[in-house]
This record gives sequence, structure tokens and C-alpha cells, in this order.
Amino acid sequence: MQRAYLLLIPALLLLLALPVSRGRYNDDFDDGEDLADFDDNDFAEFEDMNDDPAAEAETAPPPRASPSSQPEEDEDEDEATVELEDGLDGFEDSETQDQDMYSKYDQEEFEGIGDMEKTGHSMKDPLIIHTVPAHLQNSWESYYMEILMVTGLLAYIMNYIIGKNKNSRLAQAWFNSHRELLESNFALVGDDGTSKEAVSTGKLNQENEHIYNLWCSGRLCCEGMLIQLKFVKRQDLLNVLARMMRPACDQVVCINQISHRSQIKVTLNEEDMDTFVFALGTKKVMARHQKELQDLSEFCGDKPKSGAKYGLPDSLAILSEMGEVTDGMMDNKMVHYITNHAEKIESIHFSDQFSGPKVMQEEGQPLKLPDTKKTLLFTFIVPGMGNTSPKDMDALLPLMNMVIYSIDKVKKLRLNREGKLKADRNRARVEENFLKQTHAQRQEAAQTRREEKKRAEKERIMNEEDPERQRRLEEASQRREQKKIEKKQMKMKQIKVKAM
Amino acid sequence: MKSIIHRQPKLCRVEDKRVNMTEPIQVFNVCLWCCRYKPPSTESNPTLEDPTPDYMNLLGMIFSMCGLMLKLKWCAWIAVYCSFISFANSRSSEDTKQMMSSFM
Repeated sequence: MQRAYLLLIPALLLLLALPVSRGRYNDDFDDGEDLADFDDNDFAEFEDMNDDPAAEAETAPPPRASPSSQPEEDEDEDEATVELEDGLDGFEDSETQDQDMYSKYDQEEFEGIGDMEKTGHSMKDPLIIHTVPAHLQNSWESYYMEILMVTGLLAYIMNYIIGKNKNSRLAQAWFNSHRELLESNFALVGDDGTSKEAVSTGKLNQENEHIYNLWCSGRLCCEGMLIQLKFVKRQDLLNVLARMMRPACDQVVCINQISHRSQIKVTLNEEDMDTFVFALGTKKVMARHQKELQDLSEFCGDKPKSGAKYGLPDSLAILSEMGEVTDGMMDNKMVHYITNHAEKIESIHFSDQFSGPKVMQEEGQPLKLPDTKKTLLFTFIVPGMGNTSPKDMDALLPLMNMVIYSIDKVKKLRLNREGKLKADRNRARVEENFLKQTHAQRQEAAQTRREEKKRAEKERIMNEEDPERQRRLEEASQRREQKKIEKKQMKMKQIKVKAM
Repeated sequence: MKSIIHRQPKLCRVEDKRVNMTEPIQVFNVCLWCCRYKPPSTESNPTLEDPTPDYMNLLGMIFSMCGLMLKLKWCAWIAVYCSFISFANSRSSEDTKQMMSSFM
């Protein structure tokens, strides 16, 4: 009886272990291989135990003669062995069981297990996704800077071509409308200065894309007339944009040079232009010219006077050397011309002492008075304020008539005696002032020249190889110096005597 | 230029103005002196000249050097623009070869 109870206890223990093992490893029933592998080695002890209690259970109960427990025990034992073996298989081989588990999961139980596996991997090795830099991409967006620049350049080139053509058309229109007038008044119309013979080219000289020149010559008392068409820079886009801020206009500048000597035998001794300085123009321009131009600043000291006194519009001012000149110039026809075209006139400047703007030199005053020429300068504004059309050029024709009339008028204008004296005195005064200012500099220059001469002479003496000649030259130079010193002494004596 | 004489005579037919329409037209063959065109020398009045093309040329060269040395793209683009502006403002007397080289 006691041996039977002892056998029952392990049987009961085994029965308790069964549900635990079945709960975990139910799916291992399919693998029969494992069971076969591990049957002999690993589960030997368990098998002995199974056999012993099974055997003892079989032997023990029969004496008790409880038939119900026997088949139960037998069943239990059978189940236990099967179960155990399965359960033991699960315990022993964990890795293979894992694989089996996952594959079994893929197929039967879980649908999204594959993703889980992958994310499982990504969690182990995090992937860093880089963005492809812009310059490696092959798309339009990466080149937007270049496209912008090229578009800008194309716009500039377009503007250049359009502007150049417009300026050229304007110049041609001007020339066509003025050609007849010029050809009837001048023998030589259009000269570029390169041909040997004085032949009229009949064409404008293109100096720039916006500046055109025309040289006319061959007229009585006029050395030549240079007409400059100074257009607005239509070919430069920057200038076009700047003009939108600050309007500018085309200009026609006529520079007439009056000759110094007469050309016809009849008027042999008469000069072609008397000595006077006269200017007329808009107030702003007059103020500017008075500061900038040499002759106006020196001879016309007074502020610009209003032209209303002579019947001119208020917008115009007059700078003149003397009142007589203004009276002489402003005759009826001239006043008529100016009043009718006042908006087109920027400035009119007649001068026998014209030398251009004041020259500013860093070293001080220039040693010589600048060259002066007898000049008539006309600056006209083309109507249209930048938006000129070729038709506007015809409006300038009467102004050209005025130019030619002025040339003749200046030739005829003669100052009376008083005026002439005054003019001469003015010119002498200006020259004196200039000489005073440059006195020191001129002295220095003269001194250096004298020293140079002496040095050159001494060198010449030294270079003479013949001793005889050398001696003679030295004596000659000594005598010369002696003479100079004597002369100076004489002068000093004379001055002293005069002073006394 | 020395071979070109500054003042040259030119024969012209001049018709005298008639006071009366009854008078015949008097035609004279007049020998007029024509002065030849002398381009104004730039040395005497440098202030009157427009300095824009020269400045733009210089700027263009500086920017192109900067762009090349410092590898800045925008410098190179500005240099191109400067050379275009210099070309547009240039005088016709300037050498075309020089301008083409400035474009480079």
C-alpha cells in the first residue's frame, strides 16, 4: 500500500505538468523529426521514469483491482509520454523552434509579420535618407539663377538694338530736313577729315551710338560749323531706366568758328567779329555757364539779367559784357526767332575769347593763357523730352535759320568807340591778372631755363678735347657773364637815378 | 593727318540776290576757303569725355578676376553685364579687338 502511494505521487506530478506544457508548445506536433532525434538521448531518464511508474502502476493497481484507474493511468501515461516528449522538445531546441514559430506565424496566424520583421531590422540599423542636393538634380529649378541672368542679358541686347536704330533714324531725319538749308549756305557739308580733297561726304559722322557730328565749312566769315546731335543714350538699358527717374532730352549743338581774317578783298581790313562776349539762355544754364566757362566768368561778372526788358520770355536770362552788345544783338528779327522757339533754346553764346570750360590744374595756374577762338555756340533742345520722333526734327529747321542769321549779324555788329575801349580795357585787365597770378611760376620756369643753358654750355666746354679750344670757350663764356653783370648794374643805377 | 591741308579752296557757284525781278541773275564763281574737319583732341579736354565705358571696362575686369579666383558665380555674371554696358557706351573710334577681348 505504501509503495502504491509512492508511485501515485510522481504520476500526479506528471499530470499537473501536462497542461503547462500543452499551453506553450501546441504547434510542435508537426515536427516529428525532433522527436525522433531526441528520443534516445535526452529523454532517457524521463522514459525510465515513465516506464517505471507505468510498469509499477500496472503492477500495483492490479492487486488493488481498481480497473477504472488503470486505463486512466494508462491513458495518462500515454498522453504523458507523447505530451512530455513534445514538451521536452520545445524546451531543448529554442532557436529552431523560434524559426518555426515565425514561419508558422507568417503562414497561419499573422498577416503583417513580414513588415514587423523589417521594422524590427530598421530599429536595429536606422536608415538615414539623404536629400539629393539641388545641383545634382536634373531639373529646371536648379538653373533659375542662370535663366534669370540670360533673360536680363537678352533684354539688354534687345534694348541696345532698338535704341541704336531709333537714334540712327532720328539723326537721319534731322539731316534730311536740314540738308537743303545747309547745302545752300555752306560749300562743304559733311567732312570726316580723312580724305585729301575737300569733298562733301553728305553724311553724318557717327562718333558714338548716341552722338552724331556734321562738319560744314565754306561760308563767308565762318571758318566752319560743327553740328553735334547729342541724343539720349537709348542703347544703354541702365540709362533708359535712369531716364525714367530723371527725364533728359536730346540736344543739338552748333559750334561756329568765326575766322580771324577776312576772306573777301572788299572787306580787307574789317574783322569778322568784334570783340565782345554775349550769352543768352535758360536761367539755370546761364548760372552754370557763368561758373564753368572761362570767358563768361572773366568778362561777364554781373548776374544774369532777365530777358523781359527786350521782349523775351521770363524764362530766359542774358549775360553780357556790356549793355551795348545786348542792344545790338537783340534786334527785332532775333527777338522774333527767340520768342517763337524759346522752349527749344537751351543756350546761345557768342564770344571772341572762347576757350572752353575753366581748366583746373593741380600744380597751380597754367603758365600760358588758354587759346581763344571767336566762336558762336548754340545749344538746342529737341522737343519730345526723350520720346522724340523723326517728325520733331523738322521743328529745328527755323533754329538753323537763326544760326545762319546770327553768323551774318555778328559780322555786321560793330561796337562804337566807347564800347571798343571798354572791351580792350577788359581784355587787358584779364591778361594782367593772369600774369600776376602766374608771375612766381613764370619766374621759376625762367630760372630753370637759364640754369639749363649754363649747364649745357659747361658740358660742351668739358667735352672739348682740344685744350686750346677749351681755354678759348671758357674765356668767351666768362666774358659773356661779365657783360651780363655789368648790364644789370647799369640798370640798377638807372632805376636809382629815376627814383631820385 | 599732316598731309591733309587744313584750309582748302573750293569753287562754288553763287547766285546773287536779286533786288528786282527784272534784273538778270548774277552768278559768280566764287572760290571759297573750306576748313577741313579736325576731330577734337581728347588730351586738351579730358573732362568733356564720357568716362562710363572706361569705368565699366575696369569694373568688368575686376569682377571677372574676383569670380575666377574666389569662384563666385554672381561676380562672373556682373562682369558679363559690365562688359556689355561698356560696349554699348563705347566710342566708335575704339578698337574692336580690344572690345572683343573685354568680352572674354
